[in-house]
Amino acid sequence: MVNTIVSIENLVKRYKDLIAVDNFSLHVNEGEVLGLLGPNGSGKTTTINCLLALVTKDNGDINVFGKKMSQNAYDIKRDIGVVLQNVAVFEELTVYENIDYFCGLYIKDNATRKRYVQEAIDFVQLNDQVKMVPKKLSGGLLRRLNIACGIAHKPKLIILDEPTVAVDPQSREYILDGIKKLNEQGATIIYTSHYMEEIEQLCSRIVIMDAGKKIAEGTKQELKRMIKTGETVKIEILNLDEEHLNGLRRIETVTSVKYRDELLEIKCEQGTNNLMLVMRYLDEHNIPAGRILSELPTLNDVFLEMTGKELRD
Amino acid sequence: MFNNMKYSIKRALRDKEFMLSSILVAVAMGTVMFFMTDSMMDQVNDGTFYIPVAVVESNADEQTIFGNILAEIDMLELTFMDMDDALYALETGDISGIFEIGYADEPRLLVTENAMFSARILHSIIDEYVMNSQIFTDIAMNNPQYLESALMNIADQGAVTTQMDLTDSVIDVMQMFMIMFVTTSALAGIFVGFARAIEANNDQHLGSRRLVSSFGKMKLLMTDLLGVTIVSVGIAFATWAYFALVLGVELQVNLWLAGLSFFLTSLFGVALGAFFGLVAPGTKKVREQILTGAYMGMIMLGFMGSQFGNETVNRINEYNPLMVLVDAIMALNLGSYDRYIGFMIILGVSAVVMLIATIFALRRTRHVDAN
Repeated sequence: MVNTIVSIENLVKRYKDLIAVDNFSLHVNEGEVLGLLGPNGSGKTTTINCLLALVTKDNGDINVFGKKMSQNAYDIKRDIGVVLQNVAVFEELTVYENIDYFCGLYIKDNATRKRYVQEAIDFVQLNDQVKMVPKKLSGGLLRRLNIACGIAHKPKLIILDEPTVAVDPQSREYILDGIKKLNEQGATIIYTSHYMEEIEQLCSRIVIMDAGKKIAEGTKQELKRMIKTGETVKIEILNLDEEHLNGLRRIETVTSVKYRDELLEIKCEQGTNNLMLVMRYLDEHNIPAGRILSELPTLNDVFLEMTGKELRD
Repeated sequence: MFNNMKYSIKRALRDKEFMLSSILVAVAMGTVMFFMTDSMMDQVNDGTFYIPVAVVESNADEQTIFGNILAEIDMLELTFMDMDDALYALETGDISGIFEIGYADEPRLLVTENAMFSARILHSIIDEYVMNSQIFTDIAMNNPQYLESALMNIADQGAVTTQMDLTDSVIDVMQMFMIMFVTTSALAGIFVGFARAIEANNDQHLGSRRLVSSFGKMKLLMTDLLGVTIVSVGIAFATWAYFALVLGVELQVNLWLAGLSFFLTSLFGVALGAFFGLVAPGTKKVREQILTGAYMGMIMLGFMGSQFGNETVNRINEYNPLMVLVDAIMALNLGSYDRYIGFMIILGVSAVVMLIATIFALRRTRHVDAN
């Protein structure tokens, strides 16, 4: 039987005239990695803040571990680990001291805390930096420290709010691998990001948000099946006039055609012969083609088709 | 709780800005003041310290009792002149004060506000005379035949007594300054208290670590502030030790009672900072500027009060926490324990009231950033 860890029903949060979260509902099951995807300002962080009772909600019900969430629900909060967008560590304390401090907020027994702190250090691989202060760490290492501080007390539910913002690709990969490991060790994870590649790579289920509302929900395959675009064909062509563009648009499975900077981009419905049909047209009209790419739809395509705008708009 | 306090202390100790502003400023200013005052005391002891004063008498031929006493005091360089000349000389800085004799029942003293030590010495001379003037009057009325010998005798004694008083007065000034610097260093926790309170209220900052109840947040803030207070007390003792052991200033105060006042001073400073951090209106920047202004104002008013003795400044200083604390410690020297306890209670209660207000503000305020 699937155990629901987080249940949000009809959440509403307003900031004066702005509706930051609008009748938003969400269920997170035990052991899954749920991705909350949406552009900046879509309401992800506000949802997380409401979930953690860091802000008061205007309407809706939030239950975590089957209990009603409130600002003083310490018994719930002690089992939650949070890694927020902003790095929140003490500049004056070393890596070890920072992790020990945060872990100490929940783990009172010295021996246990010492073990947990060491495990967190091993996990984020900051063993060589334990005596360094945060300002001596690079951006990526600082993010790892931030994560270690949030997870050292071994929470059952881990919430990561855009933990890879302004992180180099190598550290990003490292952080994503670490999150997978945490999930393998049994933690349920809520991961918010506006990087669709990360969400695709990491999450078993995805919720797409925009303007405080849930746009879609499902696995990445389910989400991609929800849209018309099944394939995007990109071809480098030196010259292409409007007549040929219209000719391409008339192909049965083609839904849109764009030509810009000598790159032809054709979106097609799901099918097996899209590339063949396009190539046949070019061949029949003696249009020479350069590099040819065929891509399956991305989450950006899903978002674009559902909202009419790009994820990174 | 212990873990939090441990790291609160560590953070305060590694806060370079805090350590610089609390220890170095007090030590540097105290050292400068010490050498300035010390050099004057040497001059007093060597007999090379002179205070130029004018004596204005209603009848130059008539020698008054007070005039005789003045003539006996070695450190005074007396010039007899009329009031207009005397006022001009005082204005130009050629003299440090004017003694006016014979116009009223008691002699009067006119001093300029910028003559700090000299003014204090002249004040103590006239005070000394006024205290003994009744004795001379009694002798003149009841036993006029003994007046001359009594006059000579008292004048001699008066000179000695005044000389001793002057030295004591100089020591008191030095002691007061040193205690003021120690108190200033103890109060420096004001800025750390401000920063810690704001930090405790920032749920975005707290989110990743202090995901605890409101009560938990209050406990964390209290242990944080107590940690800073402990460091502030340590700083006050270190400054005190520097003045007493390195400079050799005799700070004749019971160390336990001084320690209690350091604790309450530090707690008051930290609580004031936290209060400004969470309760005072305005943006963070405005509140920070007001706090800096208040802190500097306390110090400046303290100095002005000690140096110039301006009546308005003195009245304001009655409510200046820095001077209240200095007064409290100085009261110990006079054996005035009631006064000391009174001041300590006022400070302690103020600190507690501000802390309670801060806690309530912490409970009420919620994070309001939209994403």
